[in-house]
Amino acid sequence: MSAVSAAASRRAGRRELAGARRIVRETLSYLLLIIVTVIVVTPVAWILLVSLRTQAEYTSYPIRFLPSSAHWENYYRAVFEYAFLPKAWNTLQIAVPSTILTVLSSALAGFGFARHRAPLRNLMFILVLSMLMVPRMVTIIPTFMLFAKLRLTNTYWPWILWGLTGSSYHIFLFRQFFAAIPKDLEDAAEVDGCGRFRIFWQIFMPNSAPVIATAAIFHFQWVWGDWVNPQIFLTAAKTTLSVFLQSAYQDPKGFPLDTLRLAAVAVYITPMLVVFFVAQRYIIQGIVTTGIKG
Amino acid sequence: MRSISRGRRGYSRRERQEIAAFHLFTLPWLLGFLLLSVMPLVLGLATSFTNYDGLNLATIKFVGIRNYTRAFSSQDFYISLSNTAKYAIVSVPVGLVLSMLLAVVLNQPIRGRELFRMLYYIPAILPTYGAIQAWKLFFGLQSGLVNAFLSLFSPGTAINWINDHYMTTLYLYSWWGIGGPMVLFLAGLQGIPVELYEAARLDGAGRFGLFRHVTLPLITPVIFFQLILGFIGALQILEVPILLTGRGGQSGQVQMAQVKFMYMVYTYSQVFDFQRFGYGVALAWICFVIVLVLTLIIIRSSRYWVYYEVAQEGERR
Repeated sequence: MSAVSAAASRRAGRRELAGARRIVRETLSYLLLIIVTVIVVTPVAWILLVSLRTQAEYTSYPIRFLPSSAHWENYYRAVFEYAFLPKAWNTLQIAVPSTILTVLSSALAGFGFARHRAPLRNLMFILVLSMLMVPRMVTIIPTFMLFAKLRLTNTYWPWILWGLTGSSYHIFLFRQFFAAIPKDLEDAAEVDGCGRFRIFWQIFMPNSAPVIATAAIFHFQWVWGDWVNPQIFLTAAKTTLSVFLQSAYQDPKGFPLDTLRLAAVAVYITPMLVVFFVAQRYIIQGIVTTGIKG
Repeated sequence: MRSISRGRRGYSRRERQEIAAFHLFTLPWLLGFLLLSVMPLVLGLATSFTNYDGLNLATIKFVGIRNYTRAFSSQDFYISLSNTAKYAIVSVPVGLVLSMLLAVVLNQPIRGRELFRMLYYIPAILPTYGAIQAWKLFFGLQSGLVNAFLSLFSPGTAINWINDHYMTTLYLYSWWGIGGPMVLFLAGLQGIPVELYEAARLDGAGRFGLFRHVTLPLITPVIFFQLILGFIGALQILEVPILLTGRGGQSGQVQMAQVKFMYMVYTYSQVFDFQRFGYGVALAWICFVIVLVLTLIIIRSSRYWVYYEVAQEGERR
């Protein structure tokens, strides 16, 4: 009997040890995850903390962790005393049409690739994907030469044209999504005499809210954050926030006003953070579907 | 009866309609591909054999392969290329390992997993300019948190990180964004069937054995794609160095220190600061060829280390 109870207590001991080990492992995991969180989030939070300081406090030593007093007027000045709003309007004028057009044309092509059999289809799809491999500068320099000759530089036409023809990334996204939709729906509609376009527009699109949201958010975010295209194709008057912010915040003598710039940066990144927090399920689903980081 | 009668090339009417629909749906893409991708590619390649300055078609001259020979005999070319190669070789593999390890830790059944995943993804959704401003400030001499933090231990620390430890700040910047690949690894890990782990555990595999023989082989496809996309991205690094330190070489600006010179910054500057369009496109094409060769090498090597379910089926037979 004592042997049995000894074995039982040994087993219980082992279970306890395993439990203890699990607790240690979980604690260590949490510790690691929290440290990584602090490292990842701090640089963003630090912008907010520094944006509330005066320029004198920004340049002073030793560096203080908290501002001596919060100068919220930095935000008012950054947005209203400089051309922040006109440039935000420029950015929207580019981003909104570009997003709508890119989503529509990419969905069309994605539907074509996903739901139709045709010779050359696979070859053409390989061409779609292979464009992801071409370094941006290889096409952008000649595109600039071409658009300059056509007098399309310093207009928003390049974004319209790019939008009309879709993007490889989003075509891929839509193709993956559409290919997974069961065929029954399509067959039923076809029996009812629906044309291919009506099937696309009245059956596939209304059932694709998540992927449409993903594509729209990704593309909007991309245009909002893009620095290279506005820098190359637009002059100062027509440019977007990303280019404007770089050089705008100076006092009349040309000295930098860093804390105003940081306040403007905070305002600039906030919409993207909000969109992400609201729609993160869609965004992460989109990344996972294509396997490509947006 | 007519519907099953075979038309030209042996397609039924239905099939022909399907083919026509396919071409209609993909027409916008095809036009864009031809006019906005193929045409610039061809135009660029042609320009790379000329002395085009971006303005005067009157003075344009065919110069043969002179732009290419000039690149290969230019010191700036080698310096910027080796800096970029160094950046890619360090940032991509280390970033992959870090994001994979983070995904493995996050794949445990712990509470708050979605919250951590969301927070880690923040740097990846920031607009580039905003992210770089954050980095510049974080490591800066003025109001930089890193120096302020280090000053807690050794008062008065004022390290000019971006100037004196440039590559380090670049690497750290690229690893700041590991939330992107991490999300993909996490999805890959969650797709591994639990039965595989159970079977391996019955065979006596420990925690490390499980990772080595189950987890790692099954996420090699993710590693494969991230390796290719990572290298393509890293070799093209452009706005990050420009926004971090300026692009140098502009009139009235100090020549950029050699260690900071990146390949695409060099290309960009040659085109848009010096109007050397022919030379600039030649530089871009050289990068394109390097990317192509590298991608082909990775694809070729994949059969030795990337796990595909289909191949496994074949072996079992």
